[in-house]
Amino acid sequence: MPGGTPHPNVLKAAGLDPSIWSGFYINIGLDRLVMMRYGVDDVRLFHSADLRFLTQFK
Amino acid sequence: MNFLKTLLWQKLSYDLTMCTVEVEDAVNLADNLNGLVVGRIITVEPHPDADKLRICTVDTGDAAPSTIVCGGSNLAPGQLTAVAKPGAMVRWHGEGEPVEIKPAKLRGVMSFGMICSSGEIGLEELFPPTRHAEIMDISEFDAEPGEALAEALGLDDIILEIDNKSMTNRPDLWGHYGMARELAAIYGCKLKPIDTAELPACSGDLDVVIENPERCSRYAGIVFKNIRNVQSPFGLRSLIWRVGMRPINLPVDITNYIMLATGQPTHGFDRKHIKGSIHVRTARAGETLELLDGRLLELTEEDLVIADEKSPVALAGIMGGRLDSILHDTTEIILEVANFNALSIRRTAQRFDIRTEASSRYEKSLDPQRVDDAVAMAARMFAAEFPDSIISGYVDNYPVPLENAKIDVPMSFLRKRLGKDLTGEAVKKTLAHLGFDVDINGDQLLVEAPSWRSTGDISLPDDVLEEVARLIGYENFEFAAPTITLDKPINQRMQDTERSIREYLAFRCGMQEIFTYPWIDDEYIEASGADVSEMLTLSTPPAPDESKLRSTLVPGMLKAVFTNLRYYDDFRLFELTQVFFNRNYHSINSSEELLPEMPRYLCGALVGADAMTLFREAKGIFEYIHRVAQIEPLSFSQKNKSPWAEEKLWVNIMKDDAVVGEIGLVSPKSARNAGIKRNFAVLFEVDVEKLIPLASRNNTFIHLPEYPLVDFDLSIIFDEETKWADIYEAASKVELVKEIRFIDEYRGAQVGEGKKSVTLRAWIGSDQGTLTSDKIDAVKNQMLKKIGKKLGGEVRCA
Repeated sequence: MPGGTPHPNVLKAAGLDPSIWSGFYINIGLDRLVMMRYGVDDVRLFHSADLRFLTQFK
Repeated sequence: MNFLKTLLWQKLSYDLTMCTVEVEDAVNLADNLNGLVVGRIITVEPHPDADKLRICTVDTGDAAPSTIVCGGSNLAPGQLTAVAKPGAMVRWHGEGEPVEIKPAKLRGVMSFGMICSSGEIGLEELFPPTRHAEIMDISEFDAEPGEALAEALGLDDIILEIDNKSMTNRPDLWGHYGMARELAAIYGCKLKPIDTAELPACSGDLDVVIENPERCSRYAGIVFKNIRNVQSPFGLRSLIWRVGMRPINLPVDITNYIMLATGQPTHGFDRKHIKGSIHVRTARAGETLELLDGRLLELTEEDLVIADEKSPVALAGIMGGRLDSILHDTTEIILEVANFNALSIRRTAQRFDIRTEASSRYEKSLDPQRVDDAVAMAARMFAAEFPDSIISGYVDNYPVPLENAKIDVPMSFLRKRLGKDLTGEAVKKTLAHLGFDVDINGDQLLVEAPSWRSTGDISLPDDVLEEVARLIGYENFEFAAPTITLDKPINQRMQDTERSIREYLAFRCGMQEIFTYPWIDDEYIEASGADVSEMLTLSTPPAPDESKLRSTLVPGMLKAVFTNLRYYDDFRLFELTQVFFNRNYHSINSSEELLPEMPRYLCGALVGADAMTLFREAKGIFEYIHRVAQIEPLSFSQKNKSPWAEEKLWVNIMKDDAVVGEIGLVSPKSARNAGIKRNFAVLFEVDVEKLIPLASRNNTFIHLPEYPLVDFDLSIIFDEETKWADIYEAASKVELVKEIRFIDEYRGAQVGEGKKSVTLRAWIGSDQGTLTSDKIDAVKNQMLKKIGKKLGGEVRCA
């Protein structure tokens, strides 16, 4: 889950003037947070539509 | 080494992670050698019952020597070896779960422990066996019996594993010296320079021609004569092995050591196979090269090679050729220390799908100055390891000297971005630790980066900012909350509506939300009968039969039903998400980017034993949904049936005259194609964007009737196909009718084939006064007449 200040070239590519604009970003993987919180070991379970998995979360 | 050992490795890992690169793990090599000790063999006797076994007495540091039975072929009294004592927990072959060593009888003789071969304890790369059943002979070490093996061999070392990705823009960190440089900067200590060496001024008989200087900015070659292909001394082998490379032979190990220490790859050629000058050039069409690993490459004109007068001898910067590799009889080598263009190396490496230690370093853009360090180190090491060797030739072609990066950095820029009041002097001092030269010119800093940071890594004031910030230490900046102006948020109505629909289905209707992938299985597309021509196709699908993006959620839902029928008989699922159509391309943000039609659909499945019950349940969901989701009410009618629905049991969900969705029983054919072998599934699918949120709460008050209402029941016989909705409509339009309600229906012998009797209750009333019985009868007859005329119903009984 990286984060930081975008490179000026990235801002330029987005149409912003880096001498005026700067900023920061955080990338938080929601799937991963849930996996860490509940000890889920396979990220594919979230898209599996498997009731044995889904019904564990009340 | 002592300095690092006294410093806690945790602190080291933390500081490196905070200032420079992420330390992923710290591994103590001694862990793999737990339970193993040094043993001195005292006596070796033959085993009475086994030719290949010997009975040894071994001093393992205990009061009395141990008796160990062993099948080793090289056992001799006085030898020092590796012993696993009873009770020790040993990891066989250096991996897996530890196993307890127990005393055991081998062919009738008790053995208390094990004498180990290098392979049994995971050290075969460090102590390559030279014959069968060889026990590890460490007699040359200055070790005492009973001493822990790891300590005796100097293998109680902590290896820090650096995350490769965080080094992507730091080519200078490849190599221990680069790391040492960082640590010196972090802790403010002096960095020891790499020793220089004297090299002959003449080129001897070596000639190097760089034909493509844009791909090779520097090529140094040193010819070493009188070297031998022997095993490296233990110290050198151990260092290489500890960082995960395999020791091979002394000349090759020296080249690898230089690469590991300085980050500069080097390569050794056997001199006798090189004919004439060395050419650094692109390959010519039709040329081939047999690599060290046996692969035969068909070279293209895009690949850079090292060639002699005749043909290519190596794939430059990636791998050497087999013909010129260092073999047993090699006595003269050319050591190549060169710099190659990162992009050229990467393209060639990708083309042939080869990744080597050398190529992965070159791909990161190394600085040509490093060649000096590597050349000096090579000269010293070869002279030390091969005292009889001489340097019979030395060439250093440096056609494209690297210019250090020079950047103008305003102090105001640094102060503003860091939020710290720094002085030019302080910044200059900090940057000097990293090898930067700074000229202070009023409020401007002219920063010159060192060569090892000038290959693209440092190019903007922002890069200099990062250098200053990370050495100050990110924890040393005060936290200040930013001030922002808040505007009134835009209410996104559809978000609320979708949320309330999902909560309604999940909390009140007992359904489970699912998420499926946007691409769907061909098998389920077929089962659902969906129209493939409307779907977008992925150019790089996850699997060949999963290449279509969904234009309907039904295929994914059928698959989910199939999956869960394995474990459940009765369940409810729903999904609300995007679907995609290959049409109506329009632009949202920029005119260059066109997006296709992507509405949001809601799909659900109800699975159980009784189809009718499930159908009614699904219908009930949509009869009530408008109350919870606060949308315009929905009605039902039969207009268009989807291919997956059963002939009779289906209905469209309507918003006034527009079809917004459908509920239906999955047809036997679709069910079969979807692998649904038992129970029934009722599906619904709705276009969520066609559900209209209520504009506002607009109940208008209806005055309560002043005069009492009168109610009566009518039972009317209709044809089977007559719909209640039509009956209700016809009856409601009669004058004075306030409400019509369905009471019952009957089919049977009394009514006749193909007919049904429907009982309705009507409430009538007037605002003018109480109704007379005449008036009531009149309304009844009017209703019967109207219904009879429109729908052909006959009264059954009044």
